[in-house]
Amino acid sequence: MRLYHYIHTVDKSEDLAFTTSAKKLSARGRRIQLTKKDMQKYRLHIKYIDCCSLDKDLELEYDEIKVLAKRLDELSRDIDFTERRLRQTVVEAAAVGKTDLANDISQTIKSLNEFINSDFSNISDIQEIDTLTCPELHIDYEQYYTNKIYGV
Amino acid sequence: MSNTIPTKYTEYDIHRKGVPKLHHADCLESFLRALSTKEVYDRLEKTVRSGPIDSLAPHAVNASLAKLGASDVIELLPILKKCFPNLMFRVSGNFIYGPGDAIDEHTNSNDPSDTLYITYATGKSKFSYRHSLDDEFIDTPDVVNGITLRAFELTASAPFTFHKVECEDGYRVSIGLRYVNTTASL
Repeated sequence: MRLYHYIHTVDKSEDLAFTTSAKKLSARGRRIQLTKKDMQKYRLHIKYIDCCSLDKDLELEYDEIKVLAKRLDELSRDIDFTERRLRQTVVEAAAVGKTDLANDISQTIKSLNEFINSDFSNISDIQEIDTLTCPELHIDYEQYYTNKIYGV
Repeated sequence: MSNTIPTKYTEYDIHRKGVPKLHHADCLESFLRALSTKEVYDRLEKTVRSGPIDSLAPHAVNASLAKLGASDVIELLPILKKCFPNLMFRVSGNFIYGPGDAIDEHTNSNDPSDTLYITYATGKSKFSYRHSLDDEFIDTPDVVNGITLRAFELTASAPFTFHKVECEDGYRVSIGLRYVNTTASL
């Protein structure tokens, strides 16, 4: 079955949406139809569609500040979640007298905080913004530290 | 591609954007050297996959290698941060290849990004790449008993960087980073 992919304005606003349909859509508002090649080219634009706009020539553009803000917001939430879990772990490490381990966990929390306060001003490319991450977010510290605390 | 051999390490600028500068090479070399041994390799769980070669596969169909544990990666993180202060990164691969180990051609197209592979090898091993299935592979040998850096771009669509690894002898530690350079110039 062929699918049709569109990026189009929503109602009468300039806000954009990405729509996939089994039927050709009738023209309403400003829109572009995406070919298979476009789908690859605009992979990240679609991901950050609420940070994009169509210019007067119907070229799709992204607002680098909005994309960066959205990515940092995602990372900030992930960091908050990880930190909450690590804070529970640091209490457990301290409770069983493993102060060296508690210090290690505190250092990991500090690294997470330092990351989100870094200077991101030189990063403007959408691929680079999407790649942005904090290395500590990709490690299962909870399991690692829990194993150390309880010797399992 | 440029290939320079400074005192501390060898680098291959495959994506032609420049290889991120390695600071404190001795520190990284010392850590990776300690991992590039039979003792470490033998204590790790091996990954062995086999099947018909699919050059366009995101992950290699055929692979024989061992994966470093979380504790090794956790110990390595602060060293990587110290060695590459201008990079924001995550560790995307942490492997040891033993004698005869290999990973066949693949694209990693499901995880596009600028990529840095850091290798420490104790024997004869190489990383090979090509940007088209019609091209011959370009071999980039690992420096023996030293660090080799390779910077290249992984893309979600063609042209891909098809790549593979062969470790003929010795032990080869390979650390992959997906990175963003935070400075305007390297």
